[in-house]
Amino acid sequence: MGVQISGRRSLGRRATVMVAIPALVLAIALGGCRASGARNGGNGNSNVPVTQSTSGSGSSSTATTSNSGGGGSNAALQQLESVDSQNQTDQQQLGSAGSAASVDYSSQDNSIQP
Amino acid sequence: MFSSILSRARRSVRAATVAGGLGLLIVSVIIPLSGFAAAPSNLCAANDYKCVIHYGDLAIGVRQAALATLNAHVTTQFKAGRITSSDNATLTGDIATNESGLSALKVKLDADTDATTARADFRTIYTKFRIFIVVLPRDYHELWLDMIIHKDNQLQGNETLIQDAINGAPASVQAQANQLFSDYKTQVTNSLAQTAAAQQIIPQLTPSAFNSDPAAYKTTLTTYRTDIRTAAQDTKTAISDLHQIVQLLKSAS
Repeated sequence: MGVQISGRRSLGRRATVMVAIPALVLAIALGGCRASGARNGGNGNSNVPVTQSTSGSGSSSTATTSNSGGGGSNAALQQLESVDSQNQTDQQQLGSAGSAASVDYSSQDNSIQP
Repeated sequence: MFSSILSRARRSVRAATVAGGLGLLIVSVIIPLSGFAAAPSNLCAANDYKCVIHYGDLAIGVRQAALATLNAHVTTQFKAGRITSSDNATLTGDIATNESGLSALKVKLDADTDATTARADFRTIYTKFRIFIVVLPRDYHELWLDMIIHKDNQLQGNETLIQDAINGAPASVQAQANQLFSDYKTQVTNSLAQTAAAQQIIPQLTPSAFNSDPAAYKTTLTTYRTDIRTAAQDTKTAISDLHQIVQLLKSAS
Protein backbone atom coordinates (compact mmCIF):
# COMPACT_ATOMS: atom_id res chain seq x y z
CA MET A 1 0.00 0.00 0.00
CA GLY A 2 2.79 2.40 0.99
CA VAL A 3 4.58 1.54 -2.27
CA GLN A 4 1.52 2.56 -4.33
CA ILE A 5 1.33 6.03 -2.68
CA SER A 6 5.05 6.65 -3.34
CA GLY A 7 4.69 5.73 -7.08
CA ARG A 8 1.75 8.17 -7.57
CA ARG A 9 3.80 11.06 -6.05
CA SER A 10 6.74 10.36 -8.40
CA LEU A 11 4.44 10.36 -11.45
CA GLY A 12 2.94 13.71 -10.39
CA ARG A 13 6.38 15.32 -10.05
CA ARG A 14 7.42 14.16 -13.51
CA ALA A 15 4.25 15.60 -15.05
CA THR A 16 4.87 18.93 -13.33
CA VAL A 17 8.46 19.10 -14.62
CA MET A 18 7.39 18.24 -18.19
CA VAL A 19 4.87 21.11 -18.19
CA ALA A 20 7.07 23.62 -16.37
CA ILE A 21 10.18 23.34 -18.60
CA PRO A 22 8.41 24.07 -21.94
CA ALA A 23 6.56 26.92 -20.26
CA LEU A 24 9.86 28.39 -19.05
CA VAL A 25 11.46 28.09 -22.51
CA LEU A 26 8.45 29.78 -24.11
CA ALA A 27 8.58 32.60 -21.60
CA ILE A 28 12.29 33.22 -22.24
CA ALA A 29 11.77 33.22 -26.02
CA LEU A 30 8.91 35.69 -25.85
CA GLY A 31 10.90 37.94 -23.55
CA GLY A 32 13.82 37.99 -26.01
CA CYS A 33 11.58 38.99 -28.92
CA ARG A 34 10.11 41.85 -26.92
CA ALA A 35 13.57 43.15 -26.02
CA SER A 36 14.72 43.10 -29.67
CA GLY A 37 11.63 44.98 -30.76
CA ALA A 38 12.27 47.63 -28.16
CA ARG A 39 15.85 48.17 -29.43
CA ASN A 40 14.73 48.63 -33.03
CA GLY A 41 12.25 51.27 -32.10
CA GLY A 42 14.41 53.02 -29.58
CA ASN A 43 17.68 54.16 -31.20
CA GLY A 44 19.47 54.30 -34.63
CA ASN A 45 22.06 51.59 -34.14
CA SER A 46 20.43 49.10 -36.48
CA ASN A 47 21.72 48.70 -40.06
CA VAL A 48 18.14 48.78 -41.28
CA PRO A 49 17.13 52.33 -42.21
CA VAL A 50 14.58 53.68 -39.77
CA THR A 51 11.89 56.09 -40.76
CA GLN A 52 10.43 58.35 -38.10
CA SER A 53 7.42 60.52 -38.68
CA THR A 54 6.12 63.33 -36.55
CA SER A 55 2.89 65.20 -36.92
CA GLY A 56 0.97 67.79 -35.10
CA SER A 57 1.78 71.19 -36.53
CA GLY A 58 0.59 70.53 -40.05
CA SER A 59 4.05 69.58 -41.27
CA SER A 60 5.75 66.24 -41.23
CA SER A 61 9.42 65.36 -41.43
CA THR A 62 11.10 62.10 -42.39
CA ALA A 63 14.64 61.24 -41.32
CA THR A 64 16.51 58.25 -42.65
CA THR A 65 19.67 57.07 -40.97
CA SER A 66 22.10 54.38 -42.03
CA ASN A 67 25.68 53.36 -41.34
CA SER A 68 28.13 54.71 -44.00
CA GLY A 69 31.38 52.96 -43.10
CA GLY A 70 34.78 54.62 -42.63
CA GLY A 71 35.35 58.00 -44.24
CA GLY A 72 31.79 58.49 -45.48
CA SER A 73 30.74 58.78 -49.13
CA ASN A 74 33.20 60.67 -51.42
CA ALA A 75 31.49 62.10 -54.50
CA ALA A 76 34.74 63.71 -55.66
CA LEU A 77 36.44 60.32 -55.65
CA GLN A 78 33.75 58.89 -57.89
CA GLN A 79 34.35 61.70 -60.41
CA LEU A 80 38.09 61.20 -60.07
CA GLU A 81 37.77 57.53 -60.96
CA SER A 82 36.17 58.55 -64.23
CA VAL A 83 38.96 61.09 -64.87
CA ASP A 84 41.58 58.46 -64.12
CA SER A 85 40.01 56.02 -66.55
CA GLN A 86 40.01 58.66 -69.30
CA ASN A 87 43.62 59.52 -68.47
CA GLN A 88 44.69 55.92 -69.02
CA THR A 89 43.14 55.92 -72.50
CA ASP A 90 44.69 59.28 -73.33
CA GLN A 91 48.08 58.09 -72.10
CA GLN A 92 47.97 55.25 -74.62
CA GLN A 93 47.17 57.74 -77.37
CA LEU A 94 50.02 59.99 -76.24
CA GLY A 95 52.33 57.00 -76.50
CA SER A 96 51.12 56.24 -80.01
CA ALA A 97 51.59 59.88 -81.03
CA GLY A 98 55.13 59.74 -79.64
CA SER A 99 55.87 56.61 -81.64
CA ALA A 100 54.56 58.20 -84.84
CA ALA A 101 56.69 61.29 -84.20
CA SER A 102 59.79 59.19 -83.61
CA VAL A 103 59.79 57.64 -87.08
CA ASP A 104 62.90 58.67 -89.02
CA TYR A 105 61.83 59.84 -92.48
CA SER A 106 65.17 61.38 -93.40
CA SER A 107 66.25 58.44 -95.56
CA GLN A 108 63.32 59.15 -97.89
CA ASP A 109 64.58 62.65 -98.57
CA ASN A 110 67.64 61.54 -100.57
CA SER A 111 67.66 63.69 -103.62
CA ILE A 112 68.00 61.23 -106.52
CA GLN A 113 68.28 63.29 -109.66
CA PRO A 114 66.73 61.40 -112.59
CA MET B 1 98.47 8.30 -123.23
CA PHE B 2 98.01 11.19 -125.63
CA SER B 3 94.24 10.74 -125.72
CA SER B 4 94.13 10.81 -121.92
CA ILE B 5 95.99 14.11 -121.82
CA LEU B 6 93.68 15.50 -124.51
CA SER B 7 90.61 14.44 -122.56
CA ARG B 8 91.85 16.13 -119.35
CA ALA B 9 92.62 19.29 -121.28
CA ARG B 10 89.10 19.35 -122.74
CA ARG B 11 87.60 18.94 -119.26
CA SER B 12 89.72 21.81 -117.96
CA VAL B 13 88.62 24.03 -120.80
CA ARG B 14 84.96 23.19 -120.11
CA ALA B 15 85.38 23.90 -116.39
CA ALA B 16 87.07 27.19 -117.13
CA THR B 17 84.31 28.12 -119.56
CA VAL B 18 81.56 27.33 -117.06
CA ALA B 19 83.32 29.20 -114.24
CA GLY B 20 84.02 32.16 -116.47
CA GLY B 21 80.43 32.22 -117.69
CA LEU B 22 79.08 32.19 -114.14
CA GLY B 23 81.50 34.93 -113.16
CA LEU B 24 80.43 37.09 -116.09
CA LEU B 25 76.79 36.50 -115.18
CA ILE B 26 77.34 37.59 -111.58
CA VAL B 27 79.31 40.65 -112.65
CA SER B 28 76.69 41.56 -115.23
CA VAL B 29 74.05 41.55 -112.47
CA ILE B 30 76.07 43.29 -109.78
CA ILE B 31 77.49 46.15 -111.85
CA PRO B 32 74.14 47.55 -113.05
CA LEU B 33 72.65 47.25 -109.55
CA SER B 34 75.54 49.05 -107.92
CA GLY B 35 75.50 51.60 -110.69
CA PHE B 36 71.77 52.18 -110.08
CA ALA B 37 72.38 52.93 -106.44
CA ALA B 38 75.55 54.93 -106.80
CA ALA B 39 74.76 56.91 -109.89
CA PRO B 40 71.05 57.77 -109.88
CA SER B 41 71.64 60.43 -112.51
CA ASN B 42 71.62 57.55 -114.95
CA LEU B 43 67.94 56.92 -114.27
CA CYS B 44 66.98 58.94 -117.30
CA ALA B 45 68.79 59.84 -120.50
CA ALA B 46 70.07 63.41 -120.66
CA ASN B 47 67.23 64.69 -122.85
CA ASP B 48 64.51 62.27 -121.77
CA TYR B 49 62.24 64.81 -120.07
CA LYS B 50 59.32 62.35 -119.98
CA CYS B 51 61.41 60.03 -117.85
CA VAL B 52 62.21 62.89 -115.47
CA ILE B 53 58.52 63.79 -115.26
CA HIS B 54 57.69 60.17 -114.49
CA TYR B 55 60.10 60.07 -111.52
CA GLY B 56 58.94 63.48 -110.40
CA ASP B 57 55.32 62.34 -110.35
CA LEU B 58 56.31 59.30 -108.31
CA ALA B 59 58.17 61.44 -105.77
CA ILE B 60 55.22 63.84 -105.47
CA GLY B 61 52.77 60.93 -105.07
CA VAL B 62 54.76 59.41 -102.21
CA ARG B 63 54.81 62.77 -100.42
CA GLN B 64 51.12 63.39 -100.92
CA ALA B 65 50.34 59.96 -99.51
CA ALA B 66 52.51 60.66 -96.46
CA LEU B 67 50.73 63.98 -95.92
CA ALA B 68 47.34 62.23 -96.21
CA THR B 69 48.42 59.77 -93.49
CA LEU B 70 49.46 62.65 -91.23
CA ASN B 71 46.15 64.37 -91.92
CA ALA B 72 44.27 61.21 -90.87
CA HIS B 73 46.21 61.14 -87.58
CA VAL B 74 45.35 64.79 -86.89
CA THR B 75 41.67 64.28 -87.71
CA THR B 76 41.44 61.21 -85.47
CA GLN B 77 42.88 63.06 -82.48
CA PHE B 78 40.71 66.10 -83.10
CA LYS B 79 37.54 64.00 -83.31
CA ALA B 80 38.54 62.24 -80.08
CA GLY B 81 38.84 65.63 -78.37
CA ARG B 82 42.57 65.32 -77.72
CA ILE B 83 43.55 68.52 -79.53
CA THR B 84 41.76 71.84 -79.80
CA SER B 85 40.04 73.16 -82.92
CA SER B 86 42.83 75.74 -83.15
CA ASP B 87 45.49 73.00 -83.11
CA ASN B 88 43.53 71.11 -85.73
CA ALA B 89 43.23 74.18 -87.95
CA THR B 90 46.97 74.93 -87.73
CA LEU B 91 48.04 71.40 -88.59
CA THR B 92 45.49 70.66 -91.31
CA GLY B 93 46.20 74.12 -92.75
CA ASP B 94 49.90 73.34 -93.02
CA ILE B 95 49.18 69.95 -94.57
CA ALA B 96 46.78 71.51 -97.07
CA THR B 97 49.36 74.15 -98.03
CA ASN B 98 51.94 71.47 -98.76
CA GLU B 99 49.46 69.27 -100.61
CA SER B 100 48.27 72.09 -102.83
CA GLY B 101 51.85 73.21 -103.43
CA LEU B 102 52.84 69.73 -104.53
CA SER B 103 49.75 69.46 -106.74
CA ALA B 104 50.63 72.73 -108.44
CA LEU B 105 54.19 71.55 -108.91
CA LYS B 106 52.93 68.33 -110.49
CA VAL B 107 50.83 70.31 -112.96
CA LYS B 108 53.87 72.38 -113.91
CA LEU B 109 56.15 69.34 -114.11
CA ASP B 110 53.71 67.40 -116.27
CA ALA B 111 53.58 70.32 -118.70
CA ASP B 112 57.36 70.51 -119.11
CA THR B 113 58.72 69.80 -122.56
CA ASP B 114 62.47 69.83 -121.96
CA ALA B 115 64.73 67.91 -119.59
CA THR B 116 66.44 70.96 -118.06
CA THR B 117 63.15 72.50 -116.88
CA ALA B 118 61.82 69.11 -115.77
CA ARG B 119 64.96 68.48 -113.66
CA ALA B 120 64.68 71.97 -112.12
CA ASP B 121 61.06 71.24 -111.16
CA PHE B 122 62.12 67.87 -109.81
CA ARG B 123 64.66 69.55 -107.52
CA THR B 124 61.89 71.83 -106.21
CA ILE B 125 60.21 68.78 -104.63
CA TYR B 126 63.15 68.68 -102.25
CA THR B 127 64.31 72.24 -101.92
CA LYS B 128 60.92 73.89 -101.52
CA PHE B 129 58.85 71.31 -99.72
CA ARG B 130 61.21 69.04 -97.73
CA ILE B 131 58.26 66.85 -96.74
CA PHE B 132 60.27 64.00 -95.25
CA ILE B 133 63.06 65.87 -93.56
CA VAL B 134 61.20 68.97 -92.34
CA VAL B 135 57.40 68.83 -92.58
CA LEU B 136 56.63 65.33 -91.29
CA PRO B 137 59.07 65.34 -88.32
CA ARG B 138 57.94 68.84 -87.33
CA ASP B 139 54.19 68.24 -87.74
CA TYR B 140 54.06 64.79 -86.15
CA HIS B 141 55.88 66.26 -83.16
CA GLU B 142 53.52 69.24 -83.18
CA LEU B 143 50.52 66.91 -83.04
CA TRP B 144 52.11 65.10 -80.11
CA LEU B 145 52.92 68.45 -78.48
CA ASP B 146 49.34 69.68 -78.90
CA MET B 147 48.00 66.48 -77.32
CA ILE B 148 50.34 66.90 -74.34
CA ILE B 149 49.32 70.53 -73.83
CA HIS B 150 45.64 69.60 -74.04
CA LYS B 151 46.11 66.84 -71.48
CA ASP B 152 48.19 69.08 -69.19
CA ASN B 153 45.42 71.68 -69.17
CA GLN B 154 42.89 68.99 -68.26
CA LEU B 155 45.15 67.70 -65.48
CA GLN B 156 45.55 71.20 -64.12
CA GLY B 157 41.78 71.71 -64.29
CA ASN B 158 41.25 68.65 -62.11
CA GLU B 159 43.31 69.93 -59.18
CA THR B 160 40.32 71.18 -57.16
CA LEU B 161 38.52 67.88 -57.67
CA ILE B 162 41.57 65.94 -56.51
CA GLN B 163 41.92 68.08 -53.40
CA ASP B 164 38.22 67.57 -52.60
CA ALA B 165 38.59 63.82 -52.96
CA ILE B 166 41.61 63.79 -50.65
CA ASN B 167 39.83 65.97 -48.10
CA GLY B 168 36.89 63.55 -48.13
CA ALA B 169 39.10 60.52 -47.57
CA PRO B 170 39.97 58.95 -44.20
CA ALA B 171 42.71 60.87 -42.38
CA SER B 172 44.94 57.80 -42.41
CA VAL B 173 45.67 58.15 -46.16
CA GLN B 174 45.53 61.90 -46.61
CA ALA B 175 49.24 62.53 -45.99
CA GLN B 176 50.33 60.02 -48.65
CA ALA B 177 47.69 61.24 -51.07
CA ASN B 178 48.75 64.85 -50.59
CA GLN B 179 52.37 63.90 -51.24
CA LEU B 180 51.36 62.32 -54.56
CA PHE B 181 49.18 65.33 -55.33
CA SER B 182 52.10 67.68 -54.72
CA ASP B 183 54.24 65.74 -57.21
CA TYR B 184 51.32 65.71 -59.65
CA LYS B 185 51.14 69.51 -59.64
CA THR B 186 54.91 69.80 -60.04
CA GLN B 187 54.95 67.41 -63.00
CA VAL B 188 52.13 69.24 -64.78
CA THR B 189 53.88 72.60 -64.26
CA ASN B 190 57.17 71.18 -65.56
CA SER B 191 55.47 69.65 -68.57
CA LEU B 192 53.77 72.91 -69.49
CA ALA B 193 57.13 74.72 -69.24
CA GLN B 194 58.69 72.20 -71.64
CA THR B 195 55.81 72.50 -74.09
CA ALA B 196 56.12 76.30 -74.05
CA ALA B 197 59.81 75.97 -74.92
CA ALA B 198 59.01 73.54 -77.76
CA GLN B 199 56.36 75.86 -79.19
CA GLN B 200 58.94 78.65 -79.44
CA ILE B 201 61.06 76.47 -81.74
CA ILE B 202 58.39 75.58 -84.32
CA PRO B 203 58.79 78.75 -86.47
CA GLN B 204 62.48 77.90 -86.94
CA LEU B 205 61.73 74.50 -88.48
CA THR B 206 61.28 75.40 -92.14
CA PRO B 207 62.60 74.02 -95.44
CA SER B 208 64.54 77.23 -96.03
CA ALA B 209 66.21 76.92 -92.61
CA PHE B 210 67.24 73.39 -93.50
CA ASN B 211 68.52 74.46 -96.94
CA SER B 212 70.63 77.27 -95.52
CA ASP B 213 72.27 75.27 -92.70
CA PRO B 214 71.34 71.58 -92.38
CA ALA B 215 73.62 70.99 -89.36
CA ALA B 216 72.16 73.90 -87.40
CA TYR B 217 68.68 72.80 -88.39
CA LYS B 218 69.28 69.31 -87.03
CA THR B 219 70.49 70.76 -83.73
CA THR B 220 67.32 72.85 -83.45
CA LEU B 221 65.17 69.84 -84.31
CA THR B 222 66.90 67.77 -81.63
CA THR B 223 66.16 70.44 -79.00
CA TYR B 224 62.52 70.52 -80.15
CA ARG B 225 62.25 66.74 -79.87
CA THR B 226 63.94 66.64 -76.46
CA ASP B 227 61.62 69.31 -75.04
CA ILE B 228 58.55 67.39 -76.20
CA ARG B 229 59.83 64.03 -74.96
CA THR B 230 60.58 65.54 -71.54
CA ALA B 231 57.12 67.10 -71.42
CA ALA B 232 55.54 63.77 -72.35
CA GLN B 233 57.43 62.04 -69.56
CA ASP B 234 56.30 64.67 -67.03
CA THR B 235 52.69 64.29 -68.15
CA LYS B 236 52.95 60.52 -67.91
CA THR B 237 54.25 60.81 -64.35
CA ALA B 238 51.42 63.17 -63.39
CA ILE B 239 48.87 60.70 -64.78
CA SER B 240 50.55 57.95 -62.80
CA ASP B 241 50.43 60.09 -59.62
CA LEU B 242 46.70 60.60 -60.06
CA HIS B 243 46.15 56.90 -60.68
CA GLN B 244 47.96 56.11 -57.43
CA ILE B 245 45.88 58.70 -55.57
CA VAL B 246 42.66 57.15 -56.85
CA GLN B 247 43.77 53.64 -55.93
CA LEU B 248 44.83 54.82 -52.47
CA LEU B 249 41.56 56.61 -51.77
CA LYS B 250 39.50 53.72 -53.11
CA SER B 251 41.31 51.23 -50.89
CA ALA B 252 40.68 53.41 -47.84
CA SER B 253 36.99 54.14 -48.42
